[in-house]
Amino acid sequence: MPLNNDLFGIYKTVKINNNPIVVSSASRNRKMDVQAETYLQGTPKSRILNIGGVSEDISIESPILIGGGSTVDGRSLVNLKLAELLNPDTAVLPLLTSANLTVNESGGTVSMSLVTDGDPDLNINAFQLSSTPIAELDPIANTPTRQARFYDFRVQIGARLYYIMEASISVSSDATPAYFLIPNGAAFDQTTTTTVNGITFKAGTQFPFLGITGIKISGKGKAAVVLTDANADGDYLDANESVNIDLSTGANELTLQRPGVSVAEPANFVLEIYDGADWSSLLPDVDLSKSVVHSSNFNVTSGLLTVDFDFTCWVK
Amino acid sequence: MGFPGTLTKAEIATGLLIRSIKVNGDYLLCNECSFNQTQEIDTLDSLVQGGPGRAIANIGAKKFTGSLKFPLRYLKDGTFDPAVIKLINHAQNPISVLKIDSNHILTHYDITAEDHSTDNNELLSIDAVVVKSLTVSCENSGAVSVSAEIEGMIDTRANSDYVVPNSEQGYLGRALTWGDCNAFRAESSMRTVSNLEFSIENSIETPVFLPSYISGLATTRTDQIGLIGVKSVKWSGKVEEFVRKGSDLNTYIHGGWMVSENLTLYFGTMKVLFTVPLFNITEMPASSSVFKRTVTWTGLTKPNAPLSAGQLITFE
Repeated sequence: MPLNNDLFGIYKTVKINNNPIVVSSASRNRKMDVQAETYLQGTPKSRILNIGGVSEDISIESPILIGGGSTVDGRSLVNLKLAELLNPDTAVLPLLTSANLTVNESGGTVSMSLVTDGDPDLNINAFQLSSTPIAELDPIANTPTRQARFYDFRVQIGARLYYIMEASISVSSDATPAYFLIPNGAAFDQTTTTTVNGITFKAGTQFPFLGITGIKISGKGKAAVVLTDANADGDYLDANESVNIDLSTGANELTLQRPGVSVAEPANFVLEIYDGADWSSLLPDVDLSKSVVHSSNFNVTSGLLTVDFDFTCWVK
Repeated sequence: MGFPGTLTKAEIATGLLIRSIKVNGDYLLCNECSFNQTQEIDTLDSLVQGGPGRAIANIGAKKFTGSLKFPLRYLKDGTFDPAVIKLINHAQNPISVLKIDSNHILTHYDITAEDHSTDNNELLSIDAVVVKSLTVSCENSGAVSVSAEIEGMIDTRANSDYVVPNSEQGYLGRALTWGDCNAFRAESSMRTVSNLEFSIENSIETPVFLPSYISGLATTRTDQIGLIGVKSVKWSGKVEEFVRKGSDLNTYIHGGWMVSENLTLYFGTMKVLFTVPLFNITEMPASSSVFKRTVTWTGLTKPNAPLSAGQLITFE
């Protein structure tokens, strides 16, 4: 069969929890912990294997889209999973462990990692491939889709408003696997579930329970630095002579703390996307109003002067 | 405003109907004007999306790029075209922008992705233009020709001025020819030059930035480049000389600089002065015809020379 397009991923549709998503790449990684143990056993050969639990993670790279495809792009899935993460009562597998949204001149991209327990039960539908085309990308039935570009976003990174070249926000969580002994009376095969105190699970499997133990929100940005010797005195230390950096004595771009006081940046961090009528936050469930800037790197080359910086938020 | 020629009526447009362009309000008679808006408009092709069709557009930043070619002319009163002087002076001293008006360069000011492809075409002044490169050259027995590459954007939405000559001076004049040119340097009177030219190359960067979020203010969105920056300026030249027997051993240039050599090119009363030329090694291929050698050089200057007017070219 010289022509066989079944080999190519472009003909497939990725689904997470039955939600189709346009991706540039995705990977589902399953592994089982296996170690060869050696004891005083009369032979150097591996005669005993120590076989532990199963783990599964999913990595996705996806664009941010405008138009019909905006409901099946990376930010849609991130926001769905992020809402679950911030309210664990609603969480279903797979869990979001990291998400990074980056916007710059060439567009917006989302990279995310999710974890699940490795159970191949089709009811979970953690990661599926479908042959069904993504209907939202039909340019006649829906608004034509395009990749979001720089003019679709607006940003405020603390005190930095102008000449921003790149902004990104990262959300990460720790998902800790836990394994329990089989309750007395539980069924223990790979398919039959047991319910104890209203919680349904499969006993006697290598699939872990997953617990969310920490949620962090941080970000970084890159901005051009403008230095204008407005009063022609040979320096850039006077008022209105610098944008995005302050070189004067005592100035510091970091959010410095004072004894007994918790100091946050005096301005919000904003990353919004235009939906054709109004602006909306790229991560509406995330509050970026309280943060500290903890690194600021001023780069001087023969090209654009730039400063890149990192911030970390208090999570509401 | 209304459009002349074929844009509103079934007339065949020619250069005579369209006439030419204006540079900062002065008429410029062009041989060629190939200058229009350019933009990255493509589709994404590497997504997992359920089929091989191109479903997602990718529309980047837009700007103006193109080239001009025009003769170096004396007008009826013996002065140079004012537009030529402005272009050349701007090329050697690129600290401001030029404005170009035309009767034919249609523009689209709004965001391309959000307009039907034929909506909102306008004839606007292209009010932020920079010369990227400019070459003035003259061959033996030929006319002096100027070619320029220009790049820019529209900063303010303003109707283009209708382009007609400011006076009859715009028509009447003569192109400079070989007989108007001269070249010499301190060590040699360069009487065997058969071809001469000089070039200005301005390395231009056109970054884009993310729109700013400013609380309480509407956000201006545009898909044009953010600004124009001139990163470096290079002044260079080239002469081709006949090789005469017995006269060339001591004028053959083996490369290197010559301090206060004052290499001077005259195109009519336009004087081009390289005080410290940094020569490349002379190229002198053997030929069955007349032997010629080619010398190229770059002008060594102080770093801030291009920031002042008249550091390379003066009009006497």
